[in-house]
Amino acid sequence: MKVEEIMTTKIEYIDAEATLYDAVEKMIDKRLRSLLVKPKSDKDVHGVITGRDIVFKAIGKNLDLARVKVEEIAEKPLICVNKQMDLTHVISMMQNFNIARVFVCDGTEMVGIVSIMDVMNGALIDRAKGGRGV
Amino acid sequence: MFKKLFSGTSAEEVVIGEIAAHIRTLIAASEALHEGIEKNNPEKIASVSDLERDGDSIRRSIISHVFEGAFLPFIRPFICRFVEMADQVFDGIEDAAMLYGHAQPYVTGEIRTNVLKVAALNTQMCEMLQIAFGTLFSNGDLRDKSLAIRIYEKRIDEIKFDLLEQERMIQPASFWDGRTFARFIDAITQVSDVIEDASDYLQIINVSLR
Repeated sequence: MKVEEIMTTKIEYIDAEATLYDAVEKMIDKRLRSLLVKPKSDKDVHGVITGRDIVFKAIGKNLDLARVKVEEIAEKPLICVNKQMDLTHVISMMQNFNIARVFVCDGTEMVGIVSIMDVMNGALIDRAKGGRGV
Repeated sequence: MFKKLFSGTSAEEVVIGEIAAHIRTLIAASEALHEGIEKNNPEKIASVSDLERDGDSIRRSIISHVFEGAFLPFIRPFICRFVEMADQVFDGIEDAAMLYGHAQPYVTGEIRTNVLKVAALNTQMCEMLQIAFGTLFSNGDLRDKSLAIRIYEKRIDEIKFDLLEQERMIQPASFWDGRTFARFIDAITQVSDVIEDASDYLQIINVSLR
């Protein structure tokens, strides 16, 4: 199976200078587990902030979400894959880097996200169709 | 499983073939709706009604064959109920197709993207229902097909949530425009619920035959 068959194209962005509270609000409103952090300048790159980051790096340390900026805890750079990449490679990357999602890039453009749940669901659907599952 | 289902005549094979044809027609109707919206093709959209009529005709034939004696008596109501559920899926697709003509001016931008995703997923769910139905008579594992249908349904549920938000942002020209658009969104997003119910019913048939 290829990445493009299972990727989610719903991508939500947040400014690097927004607060974690803004990020939490957006995640709850849009029912998302991660947000893409916009680059601050042309020389900067995209980052990602996840619910896991917010819990471990801010809530767990009893920080005020309204005072911490997204850029302070965002992960950079993103781990990007091509939409033609085989799922077995994506699974290996997730395992090696201990990450729950990879970003799908087309040149410099971000076109989708593949999460562990997307991989699991895609594999189960493929198996139900009689395929190998990955 | 065949031995448990069959009374020993070929009438059952006719019914199974007809149900398979019924689901194939359902897939064709769902594909026509998706393609019609994607390519702005009114003829394709109009063909959904023709396919629904074909489906109706097949359904009547299935029911009459069943009551003429196909299958052992205890399984007949289950077979008929499953076919009725597939017919409800047809109704949902036909409603969406009929309403689309009036709703089209508002199906733009992100709403259009999401509507197309739902239409594509509906077709994939119909295809999975066909695979699941085939599995019922081949001793295959129905559970993974049923799970795949539930996964598709959850995906549509997530898109439905976004569509409901986007629906509230439109500025309809009249009450009727707004109502028709809302009914279109309801129709196209509720198809998956009925397919899921039909899939659950297949699981019930499967379990009741053990």
